[in-house]
Amino acid sequence: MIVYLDADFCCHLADDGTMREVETDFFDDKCAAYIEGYRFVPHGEIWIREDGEVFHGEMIAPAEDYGALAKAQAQYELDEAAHLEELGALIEEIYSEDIDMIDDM
Amino acid sequence: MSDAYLVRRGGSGGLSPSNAVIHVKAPAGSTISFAKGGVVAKVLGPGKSHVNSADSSFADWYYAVTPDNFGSWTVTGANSEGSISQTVTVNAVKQYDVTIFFGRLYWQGNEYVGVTGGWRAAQAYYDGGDYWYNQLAITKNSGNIVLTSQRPNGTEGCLGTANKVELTRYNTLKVNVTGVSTTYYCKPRIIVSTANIGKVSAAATVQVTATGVASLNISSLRGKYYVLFCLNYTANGTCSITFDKIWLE
Repeated sequence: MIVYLDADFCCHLADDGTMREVETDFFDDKCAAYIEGYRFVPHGEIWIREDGEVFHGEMIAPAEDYGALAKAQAQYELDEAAHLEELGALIEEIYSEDIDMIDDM
Repeated sequence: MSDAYLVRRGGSGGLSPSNAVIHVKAPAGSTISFAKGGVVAKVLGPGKSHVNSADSSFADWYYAVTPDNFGSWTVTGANSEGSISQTVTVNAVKQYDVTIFFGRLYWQGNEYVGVTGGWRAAQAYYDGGDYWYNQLAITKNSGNIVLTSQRPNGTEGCLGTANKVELTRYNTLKVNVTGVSTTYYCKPRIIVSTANIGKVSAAATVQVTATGVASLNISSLRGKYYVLFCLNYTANGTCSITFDKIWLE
């Protein structure tokens, strides 16, 4: 998927006109809250943490508390599963109605 | 030099009204020495420590410094992992906190089994397509580990800690790479993961592309995670990587 990086290598799902685009599969199946809590340092580039520690890309690491990101992702997966279940029930209902209609012909 | 040491009893109690206290947190089982001006004033062994209630792998030691001994003190923690010294300037009646930690996960043949549970092949998993993942050759030498990617094309192989490692007090994971055959196809990575199954469960990752020290920012991670070293095999042929140290800072 495509993510957009700001000047501090933080990830965004929309470009505000100042960001650059990178493509990665690291965030596949991840929700927006999870993705936008991360920092992505591309290969060949350097990010310096506020304590002076230097990190070379490609590095992908949480920029915000990972516990909160993981919680958001877990809720997203629960919501997705519930949605799929509803969708499955709806499809089953339509299928049953179609079968009944055919039988009545 | 006055010989005044204080072992704090229990969880409450304050400082002596006239003395400073050097509080040392170090791996349980360590021996802590306190020196000033190159002269060792006191050595406190494991028997003089208190188990840290937050993390039983650590313990606490306390040493009181009278005002006539204020100045630059060297605190040294020693155990089977080695010896680390830190300097603390004592110039007021208050508590000075010193943390001695080695943070080693693998060091030139030592797998730090007490922390890591040992390093072994990560759990294999089926990707739902054509491949079982975790195809990796692991060679453990006396001073390093060599990982060699295996076919088939598209698979991932990881070496990982058997146990989750507590990362809360650390900000950086580092690995010293001493040999890399090629990285174009195999994309070696250090991964900090919620499960022992490679990149699918990665919380943080950094690619290793050359010899030297590679660093991963883990300052936003709290709690316990697996540490993995993975090669992603994406073309015919093999690649290998050699490392001799993995540690936390």
